[in-house]
Amino acid sequence: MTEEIIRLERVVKEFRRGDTAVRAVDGVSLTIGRGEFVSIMGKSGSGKSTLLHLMSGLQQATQGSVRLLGRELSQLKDDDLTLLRRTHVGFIFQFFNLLPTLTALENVALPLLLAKVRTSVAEAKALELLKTVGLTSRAAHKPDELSGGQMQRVAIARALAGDPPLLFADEPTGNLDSASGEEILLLLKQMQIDRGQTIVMVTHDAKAAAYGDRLITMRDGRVLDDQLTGGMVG
Amino acid sequence: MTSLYARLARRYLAGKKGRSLMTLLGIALGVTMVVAVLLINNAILASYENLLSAAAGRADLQVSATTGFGFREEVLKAVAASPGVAAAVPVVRSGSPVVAGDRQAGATFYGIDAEQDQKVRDYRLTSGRLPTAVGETAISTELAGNLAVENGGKLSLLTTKGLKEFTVVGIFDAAGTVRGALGPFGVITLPAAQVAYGKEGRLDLIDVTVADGHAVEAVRDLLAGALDDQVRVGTPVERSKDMQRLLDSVIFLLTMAGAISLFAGAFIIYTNVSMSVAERQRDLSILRALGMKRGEVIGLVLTEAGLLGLLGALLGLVWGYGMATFMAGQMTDQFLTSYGVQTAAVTITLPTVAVALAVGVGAALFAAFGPARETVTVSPVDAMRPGDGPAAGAKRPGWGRVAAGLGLLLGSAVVLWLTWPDGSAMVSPLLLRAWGLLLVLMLLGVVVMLPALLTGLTRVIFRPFLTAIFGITGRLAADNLVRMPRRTAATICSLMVSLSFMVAMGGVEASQMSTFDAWYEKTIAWDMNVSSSFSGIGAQVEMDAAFVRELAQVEGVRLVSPQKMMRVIIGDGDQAFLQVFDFELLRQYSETMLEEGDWETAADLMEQGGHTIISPAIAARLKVGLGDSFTLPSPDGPVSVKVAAIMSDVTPYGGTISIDQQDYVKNWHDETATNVAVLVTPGATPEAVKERLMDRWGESMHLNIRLNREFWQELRAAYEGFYGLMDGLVWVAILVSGLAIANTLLASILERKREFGLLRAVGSRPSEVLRVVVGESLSIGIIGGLIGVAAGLGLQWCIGSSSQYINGATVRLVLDVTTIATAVGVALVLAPLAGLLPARWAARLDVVEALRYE
Amino acid sequence: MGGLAVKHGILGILAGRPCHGYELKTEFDNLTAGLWELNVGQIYSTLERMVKDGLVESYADEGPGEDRKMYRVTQDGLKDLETWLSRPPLKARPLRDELYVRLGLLVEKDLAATLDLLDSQRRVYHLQMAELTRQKIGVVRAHGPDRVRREMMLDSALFHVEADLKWIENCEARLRALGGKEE
Repeated sequence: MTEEIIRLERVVKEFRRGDTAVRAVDGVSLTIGRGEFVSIMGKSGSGKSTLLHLMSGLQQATQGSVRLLGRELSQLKDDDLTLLRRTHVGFIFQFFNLLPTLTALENVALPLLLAKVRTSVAEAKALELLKTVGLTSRAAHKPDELSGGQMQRVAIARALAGDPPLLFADEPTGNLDSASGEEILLLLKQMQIDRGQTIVMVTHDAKAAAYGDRLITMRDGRVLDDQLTGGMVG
Repeated sequence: MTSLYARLARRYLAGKKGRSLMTLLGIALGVTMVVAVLLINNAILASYENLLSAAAGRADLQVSATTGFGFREEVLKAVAASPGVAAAVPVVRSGSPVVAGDRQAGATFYGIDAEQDQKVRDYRLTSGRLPTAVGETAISTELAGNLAVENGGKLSLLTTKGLKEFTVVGIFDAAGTVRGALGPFGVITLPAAQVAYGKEGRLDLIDVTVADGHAVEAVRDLLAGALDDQVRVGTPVERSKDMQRLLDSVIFLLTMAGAISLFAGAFIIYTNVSMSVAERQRDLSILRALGMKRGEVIGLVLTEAGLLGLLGALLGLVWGYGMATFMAGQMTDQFLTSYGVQTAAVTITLPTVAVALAVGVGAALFAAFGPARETVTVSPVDAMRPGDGPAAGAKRPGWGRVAAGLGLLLGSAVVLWLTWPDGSAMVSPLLLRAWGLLLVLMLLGVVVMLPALLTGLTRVIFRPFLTAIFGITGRLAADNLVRMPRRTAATICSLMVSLSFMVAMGGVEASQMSTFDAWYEKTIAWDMNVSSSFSGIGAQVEMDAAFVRELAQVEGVRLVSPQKMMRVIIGDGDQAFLQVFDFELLRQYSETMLEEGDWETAADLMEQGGHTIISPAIAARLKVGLGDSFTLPSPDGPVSVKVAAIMSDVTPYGGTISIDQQDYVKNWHDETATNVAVLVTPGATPEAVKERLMDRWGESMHLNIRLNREFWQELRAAYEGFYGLMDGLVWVAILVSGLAIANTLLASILERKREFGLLRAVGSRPSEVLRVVVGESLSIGIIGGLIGVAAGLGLQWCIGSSSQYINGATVRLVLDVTTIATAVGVALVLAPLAGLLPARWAARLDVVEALRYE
Repeated sequence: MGGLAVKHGILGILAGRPCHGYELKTEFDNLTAGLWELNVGQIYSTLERMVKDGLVESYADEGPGEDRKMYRVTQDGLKDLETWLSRPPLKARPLRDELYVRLGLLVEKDLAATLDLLDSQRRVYHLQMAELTRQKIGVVRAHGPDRVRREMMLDSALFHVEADLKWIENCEARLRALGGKEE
């Protein structure tokens, strides 16, 4: 295996629901290497989203160790965790989560601007990314003037703005029609092939999961199956 | 259906306790003010009317003095002889301190003709009889109780010559004697009263009963025609209008405070309702989808608001009652006692309750209607779909609103300008109320205009400004400001309104204080002021000339200057405050602060006699200027005086007239003094002289001596008492608007929870999220502060410069830097502070939780 | 089954241009984007039958090479192709799968073994799906002129595999609900 980016060891995540504790993730251990496109599948409630949140540092594990790029997440303070996210992780969500007051270009530039990159530099970079996702002509449009697929492409561009080694996608096609969904998946695949981007994607859709080259199936908070589904495509 | 509304409404309100409580408080505050205004006006007028009618007994008409110091006894004959008059009963009256042993009390004393008097007043004697000889008195059971004297006991009454002993020959039950409350009351014989109060040969009042078969109106007109200017004829209760002008200024400020509080309250309701509606858009839409009609959904939301309005109104009713009681007490202490009003009983009447409920519920429904209607303009399907927060460009307020707002603002300004007093008339109470309405309309104009103005301001100022300072977080803050322009505008309005109220009140207070200080510095230059029973603006019992001459002999006294202060009725039929000075003496130690004319010239003219110095209010009321003449009523008939100067006036009694003692003595034939200004010789200290005077006359004359500084403090305290209350109201309003800001921000954060979650996910630190929210609240503070301070200064100018046409007090406007700085501080500190709580909440949001869709 | 489709597939290809026998295999594979692989023997036997029926005729090629035998379509062949293409829609596909038989034999006897069977079958389907997706990505990235046809074929396969996967999930859920123990 190539360089290791994520390592989970006996990770447990519990949520309190009323008086009972629910184990959303129950003793998961796995590693993800650089350049992998990992799909995580499972029904709702299987713990797949929680696993993604734990890997990306959006949530802290109850037990076990989560190492992201060699750093133990449980030992990071909130600010450092934020900084790690800002510089090393990109996110794509089911509902796009673009800021409605910003244009497509500004949305893409947002992580850079938050990281205090000069506006001109940030916007140049954002424009280049919009070109990559094929939306140069929509740079000045606000999210409510874009279609779902276009919004998700903007979101992908935004996720890539900081050149993060790692991209997390949480049901990226869940809110799209199948044609737009395929476009998005293809775009992700291209990022993996052309840029060597590591991608971790959560989905409940087998067809979407098939874009990955490793499939982790979750059930009841555990890894039911972890199979390599293919070699590289050139 | 209704019960379903009530159940849903109750559940929701109970679920959102904090917010419901805030809405409740907002309404309660507004209703409190409205109720207090209503109650206090009614309480004071009612107490005074009650007092007047109580004292008048069965009298249909009263002939009373306009001269300030009684009228000639001969009038009685003319009245008695007039056709239609069944009985004409003479009275000399005074408020008097009474002493019995070591007990003291204040009481109203009537000098009566025992036989005549029973034609208008029944004395239900519990023991003894009415006084028939000098040295005898009958007192009410209440006064007897206060003094712990019984029939046959002794008491001392303060007279112009000091305390004089009287024997109690009868005790009567006041409740059976007079209608309503008169307070502690006693009677002595008419001749005894005339001597005791320095009113030999005069009367204060003739109570008249009209013979059967004669119309009261006709008799009144006949009498008024037959009698000269030293008296006026009217029903007993009519005299209560003398007090209206005094009340007006207080009522005006209170009404304004009420309107402003109600405004702020309405904004809070607006933001809260629109927030709750936004939160429950989906729930409400489900109800719609399940078959609830549009009207029924609106009804549901309005039921909630109405319920809160009702509770708020009830709370406001209770608070308003408390406030009115407190204020009535204060006002009684400060100046009503000089009218003989001992207590003003505040009673809640059915109309007050109705008004309170109407105002509370009405304001709640009015404010809730807009947001309630919005719930049904969205299709249920759209609303049930999990969507993003409010879109960026949704519902941009159009130019139509700007035009409407501008129209309201300019229209009101024009009306104000057209009705502004030109210095030749006082402002009528009706106009004063109309101005209150104009004020509300102008505020409304700003409110209507603000959403659009906000959008422009944000684009031109805040966005570049905040972006320059905070980068992208600042930019987001500025954009969020106009996401819901109406709600933000409502919040800004409540801040603006409170701040303008604060600036205006602070400014008026500072102006009045600085005017007062300047006036005091110049005018009150005596070392001490001696009186025998000083209360409010003057003594209730005068001191005679012989005593004043004795005062001058005391060791250490350099100069004594007797003065006379009284209320007269001048040409326009209203009250004025008449001051009598010996200007030859006065100019040796003091100077009158003038608005027009030159002091030396004026003092020369006053010394010559036949001249007067008047306040601007008198000039306006009588339409006279420098060099013009007008007449004053005196027991000798009208006295013509020529205006030598126009002076500044700090009293709120509707205008002041100064004349020289020689003119007074010549026409009023009265040499008593209400108070004496005393100056000490070089080397003697005022304290030592005061002690000497008190040793000698303290007891026998019931002396009351104020040193210069003490008097200043006393007057200051009176102002501060009033403004302290106003300040309290201001801070409550500020607090409420602070809550409103926190509320709005919380609402906008709740709606944009996912955006904050996203910011956190893509790498915003909690501190940066904090900055977005605080930037937003800071902007609200800046706009609210800016407009608030500007509006406040305008308001201050209006109140300040119209003051002399409202209650006669001159106010020289000063810019009150402290208040303005405080207001700016509040805007720049309170607003971000109010934003901090919701901001911290936003910053601490669990990212995953925030991004989740239910 | 499928003999008719193979025959007319070959007729169709020959209607485009005359071919060698061995060329026909690649062309046929291409036609269905590799979903329907034929062996060479099957092609030659079909060709022979068609020559006999007079639908196809063979002739010798003039160029160099071992196999000079070329095939072209006759007038009868073209007519036959036309009638076939304009036939009414096909009957629903008969559902036959070896898995059904295995499952049928196990399900009432050994629940655990059934679940294992389904589990391993699911892995196979995922692998197949990944392979199909890879092909599809290849097609899309290649931007060839036959992209639409190939994508359609691949999609059909993907949807079928997806249906199989869903069915397996459904079976698993059913069996678990019956009280099958975890794993």
